[in-house]
Amino acid sequence: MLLMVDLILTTFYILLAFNTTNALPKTLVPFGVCVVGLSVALHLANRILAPRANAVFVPLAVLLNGIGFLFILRWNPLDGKVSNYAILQAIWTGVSIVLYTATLAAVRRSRDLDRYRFTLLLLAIALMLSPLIPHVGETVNGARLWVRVGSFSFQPIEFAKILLCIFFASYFADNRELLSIPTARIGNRLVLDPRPLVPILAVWALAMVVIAGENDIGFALLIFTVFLSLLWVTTGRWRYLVFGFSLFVIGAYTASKFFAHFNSRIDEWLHAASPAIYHEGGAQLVQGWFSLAAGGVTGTGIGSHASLVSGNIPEISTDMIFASIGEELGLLGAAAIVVCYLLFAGSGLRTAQRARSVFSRLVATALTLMLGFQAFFIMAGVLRLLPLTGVTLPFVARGGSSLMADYVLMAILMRISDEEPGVEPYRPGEEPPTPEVTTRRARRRRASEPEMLTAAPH
Amino acid sequence: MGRRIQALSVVLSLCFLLVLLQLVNIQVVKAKSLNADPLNPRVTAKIQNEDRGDILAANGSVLAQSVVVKGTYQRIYPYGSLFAHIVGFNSPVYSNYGLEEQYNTYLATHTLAPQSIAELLTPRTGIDTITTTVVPPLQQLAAAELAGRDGAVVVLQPQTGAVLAMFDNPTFNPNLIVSPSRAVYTAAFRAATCGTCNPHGFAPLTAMAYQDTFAPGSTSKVVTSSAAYDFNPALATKYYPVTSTISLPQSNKTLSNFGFGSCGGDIATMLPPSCDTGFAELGLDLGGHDLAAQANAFGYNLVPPLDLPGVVASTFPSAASFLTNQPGLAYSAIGQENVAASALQNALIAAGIANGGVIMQPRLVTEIRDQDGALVFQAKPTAWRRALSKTAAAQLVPLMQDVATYGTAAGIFPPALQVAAKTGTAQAGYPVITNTHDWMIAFAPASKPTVAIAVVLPWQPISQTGAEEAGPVMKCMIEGTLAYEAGQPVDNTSSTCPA
Repeated sequence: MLLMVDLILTTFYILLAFNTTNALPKTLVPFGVCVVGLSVALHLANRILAPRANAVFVPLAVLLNGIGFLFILRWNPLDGKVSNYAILQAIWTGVSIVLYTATLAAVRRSRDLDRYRFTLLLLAIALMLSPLIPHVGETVNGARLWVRVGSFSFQPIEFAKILLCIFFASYFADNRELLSIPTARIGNRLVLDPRPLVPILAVWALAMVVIAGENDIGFALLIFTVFLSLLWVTTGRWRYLVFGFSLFVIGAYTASKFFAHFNSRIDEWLHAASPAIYHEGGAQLVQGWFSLAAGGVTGTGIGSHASLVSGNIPEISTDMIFASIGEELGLLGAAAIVVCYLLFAGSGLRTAQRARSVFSRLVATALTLMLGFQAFFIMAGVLRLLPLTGVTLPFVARGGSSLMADYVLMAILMRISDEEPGVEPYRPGEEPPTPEVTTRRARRRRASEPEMLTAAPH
Repeated sequence: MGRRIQALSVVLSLCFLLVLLQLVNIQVVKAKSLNADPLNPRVTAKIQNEDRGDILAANGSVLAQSVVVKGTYQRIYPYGSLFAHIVGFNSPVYSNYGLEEQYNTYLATHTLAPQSIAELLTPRTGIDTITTTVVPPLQQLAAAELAGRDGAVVVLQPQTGAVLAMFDNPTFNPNLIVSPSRAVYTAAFRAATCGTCNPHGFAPLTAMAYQDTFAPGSTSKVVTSSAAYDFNPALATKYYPVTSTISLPQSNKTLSNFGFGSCGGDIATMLPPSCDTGFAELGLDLGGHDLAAQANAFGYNLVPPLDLPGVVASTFPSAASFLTNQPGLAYSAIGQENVAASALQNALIAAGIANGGVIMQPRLVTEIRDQDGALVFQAKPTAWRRALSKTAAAQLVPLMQDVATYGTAAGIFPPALQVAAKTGTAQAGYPVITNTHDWMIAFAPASKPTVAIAVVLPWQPISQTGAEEAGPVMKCMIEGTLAYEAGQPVDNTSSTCPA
């Protein structure tokens, strides 16, 4: 499967070179060797460190990463030498694969992560707030999401989001009953103990700090969405969803009154083509639509001369890369990307269903939702289904921190997948596997029985 | 828990389904209308694969041409920035500008009328060549005279309306805008549209000559004078007392002469020294209706019909506005407050007076020929407006000659050229006057004018005047143009003009 992906990528590379320079790329052999080499490295890492894991994740990631790289290269054309951005992205890919292997090697059992719950939380909060430190934090395109150390800058929130997922999962796994079963008493009614709600408010506060201090609605929404979904998965209480989203909407509405950056994003989304807004930034979205429309069903072809005008779209190789893919690879190519994410998310949730502990199950769910919703938010932003936010298109968009974080995220999913019961023999001393019943009849039977842990009325 | 995870997978799938549906919506359903949207740069992108007609100067030299580079057509502008605001550019990314836009249907590949039945089935296509009125040596002279200063020079032929030269700063290099390199054209366009890069906010893409307006100051006194001749001849000989300051009606404002000098008299005595107090009183005597009517007759509040896109109208307040604003009427009579003229408009005013009161339609294109050399279009001189009566013009010309012989423009022009001129030094800056817009309009020779010119140098130091700043530019342009019209090289007429 990996080799097939490699073949696809190399073919695209040749097409890109043909379309931009009318010749075979001079760097074809090095490119091929790199692609195959990195794939083999990934494959070996999997064989040795997670031999029983789901074999779908890595090829999907490599395909997305490769297509992303080609489009970054496409906007820094191959005239003689490869540009800085493309070289950097190639280096980041290499580093990401090393990090992926390291994560697989370091996290030999998913429950290891459970142990460092509060350490991870502190680390996550520190990372999230670090861009606000004067002199270190950096503002790029109105959002203060960057940390610069020397000549090296990165987006700490990319890593924080993974740590937060692990913390949420760990916290919820431990406090399931408390969160779902009414224990406090008001008058003669049993209500939920309000104390476990404190972390919900804390996360809400954190999201608001991110919106206010770092001017980034995208990640705040993402983290909040994953958090609420996970809370619902754990407890099965709809009220949490309603409560949480009302809080977020109120917060975001208030923020929109005070922060111009946030407000203009909404204006651009709703009225991108109106003259006043078009010249203030709406052009990015409108031109993105033009690019997509020009691509049609089959696309203009990667590196096509006809799509050169798209090069004027701001952030074409980051925020707007999906528009570029949609133009040059057409509806079919863009749909293939969507399907890749769908498959990835599907495999992620399947891993969650089969995971052997409540904790690892919640971790897998959280990480999958994080990646899935992130992909959805940015694609929907480009398509103007939602306001455009600065979250990255996982594995595809240019940027080292996000690529590394995506690979680490995948490594944890692979680890959990590797532990699936039924594949791994039961070892004494570990908690017994909790097999997930998958047949329809069995599920119905289980649903009719009161579940031990989620016995709360739905 | 398992079922809820499953439910989430359904939610996520629905989200992705929504993305797919929107993709279909944009890429298939809406594609057609998006592809034809005027904001879409692809609408003009297809031109890159087609040949395009040449744009030539009056002397036949090439101003714009398409050449084949590596299999695609590349537009080149041999004179670079010199004709940028006239010729414009033809960019696949930034669309068309200037003559390239105005005459796009002729320049671009177009279908020819069928000559035979065979051609009815497979129509021939062709491109046309456009010949313009502009003279490269005069344009170069104007650029050399401005010497990089922000400003504009417009040189017209009064009898035909032909634009012989029209140069302004800041300008841009169209070759960079149409460069095949994205890095180059992006940077060039950004620089060309940058308003903050210039201390006075002039973006290079904006043609100052016909897209920026400034208070015309005392050059406007020729309009006020002609209003007196045409609407109220008694005022033309009315004697205004010698004074340095007058108080204005409807207010406690006063109006003083330049440097608080004293002056007065009738029009003939007041125009050469450019007496502000006298002309302000003349304006008040004329009344808002007559002054506004005369300004409109000269073409104020109308877009001059020059064959270029984006030409702006000059503005003069309406008659109604003066009813409640008598001080404004006094200021308008001397070309201040809300009066604003482009260099093109002021050149047209000079040309109208030079041409016996008739302003000819200004034009840049003389003829268009198809690729076989057959004539497609030929411009004929047409009158645009009757600005003032022939007698008023005849009365005004000697006064403008006096300006050049002993008035505010004394000592600038060799007497043999018979130059008729008017200077203007408009106060600029609000609420504190910080600078002056320095103007001069002129035509020559006064007996039978063959050239009318306007020069503006905005935002000059407050110590400078129209005569000092615009005067030397005007002298060289008049000399050069007269030499050109006499069939001589434009640059060997005077030692003070640059080669």
